[in-house]
Amino acid sequence: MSQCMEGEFVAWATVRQGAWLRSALLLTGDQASAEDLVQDALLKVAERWSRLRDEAPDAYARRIIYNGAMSRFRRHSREPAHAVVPEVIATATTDDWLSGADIRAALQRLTTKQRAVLVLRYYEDLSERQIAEALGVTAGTVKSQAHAGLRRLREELALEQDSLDGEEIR
Amino acid sequence: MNDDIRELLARGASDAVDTDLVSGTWQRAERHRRNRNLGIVSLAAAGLALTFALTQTGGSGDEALLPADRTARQTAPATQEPNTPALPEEWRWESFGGVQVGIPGDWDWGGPSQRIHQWCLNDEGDRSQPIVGRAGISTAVGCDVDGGASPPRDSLVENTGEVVMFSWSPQPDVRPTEVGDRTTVQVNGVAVTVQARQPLRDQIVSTIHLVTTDANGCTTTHPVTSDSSWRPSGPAVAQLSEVSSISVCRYQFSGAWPRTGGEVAGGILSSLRLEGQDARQAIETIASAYVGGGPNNPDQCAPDFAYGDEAIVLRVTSAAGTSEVVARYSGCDHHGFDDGHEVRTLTREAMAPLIEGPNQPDQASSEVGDIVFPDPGDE
Repeated sequence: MSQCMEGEFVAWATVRQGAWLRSALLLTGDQASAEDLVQDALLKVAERWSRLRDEAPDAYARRIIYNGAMSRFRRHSREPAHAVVPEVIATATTDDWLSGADIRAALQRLTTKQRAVLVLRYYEDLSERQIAEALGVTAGTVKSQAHAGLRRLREELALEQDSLDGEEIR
Repeated sequence: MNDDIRELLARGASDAVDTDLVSGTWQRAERHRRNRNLGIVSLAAAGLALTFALTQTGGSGDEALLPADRTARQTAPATQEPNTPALPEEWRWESFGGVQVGIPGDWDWGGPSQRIHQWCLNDEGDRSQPIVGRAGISTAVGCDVDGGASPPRDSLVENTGEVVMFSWSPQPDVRPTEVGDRTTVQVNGVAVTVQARQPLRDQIVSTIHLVTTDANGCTTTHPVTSDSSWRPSGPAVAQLSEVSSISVCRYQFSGAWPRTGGEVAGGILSSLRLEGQDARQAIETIASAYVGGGPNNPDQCAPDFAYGDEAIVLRVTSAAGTSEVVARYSGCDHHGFDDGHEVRTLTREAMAPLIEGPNQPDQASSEVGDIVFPDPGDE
């Protein structure tokens, strides 16, 4: 029975680890912290696999990752870590020159909640209701954080603002 | 719309280096489960051993007390204030923020926030082991989405097991409130949540009282709570001789916010007491650590969070009288054992006896994570 459950868990986790690692990289800004977050989530899911296997292990793991990212941030700083962010990001109307590192650095200038909402909405493509459940906040909070986060991210990346309000969060 | 944002985030995520995070996870989880079950078994065994020994010795039985028996050690308090209620046999005292509560001696320590707020994740092993603890972090699974049952399902022992939780609370003192299997007592800026079957619940509630020095000899306030850089002024730890006891007092700094989401006055979080050989060994281990402090990583946090939100103060009784050593492990800088003369490096061996049971921190920075939270598999 235990070997059967282990096989199920390994199969489930193997399929998902890459996607979660990429989300975690956006949340934390660095590979090592992202790996820590995902490993911690996998461990917690494994510890409770007998109960979670028939329910919602994906939702549980996602909550661990996003709450872990927010706890980690609270732990280490009351303000975003600016040290890794360039002092000035050149203005541009095209984003062609932006590297992955530039984008992650700009994300780190957002609040943790704004960052989490944007990653869930525009990277994981979750709905407003799903984001609210994942973060344990209200739909209104999701909407306001997404709005503020988008505005801030566009400012940080010196992108055009014209599409900012053009899309309703589902 | 906002496809440019989608594309940018995908670009930001694409640098992740795929690595195997799954191998060994199941085995680590099994070790954690086994370790937890062993803890339950050993506590039960210790309780049985104590009961048996007291029976055999006619009930006085100091000679029957095992060194590892935490219950037995704490039934003889280091200090007892005049207003202290009677403690039932084989119970122990736990304190938080100047509020002291009697707890059955076979209860374990754990994370009550997770146990109560995430009740739908508790398994039979969780529910069968009563715990006492301090409010802290928990996961955020929506356990209450089942329609708002009355009484709330997280207030029922059948879902949570028996739990006592301490938390900071800005609310004024009020009469105890009851819902489901839960009684909440609000006193002195502290909320004590007692979730247990009757008559045990009333028995625990009846022991709640205020103290200025708890049963382990820890004052409920300390200068370090208002000045996280505070340093002792007594003798150097390496000079201490004839050490007879240590009150190991864990304090939260004032203004610390992670546990509450708001400002708190600071004060005692938890305590334990080491006596005799355990105390001598603890001081010798600290004194043998390298001078210099650390491990630190000051680049990892804002300067105003360099000390973190809590510290442990050791009140050492020795030939020199009572002196203090501060153990800092909570922020990203200034880590180490500080006797006011030198700062010695934190080591797992030196920290281990200080963070047992009630004193287990629920968070630590990554620099000291392996010291404060050793993987059971590494033991």
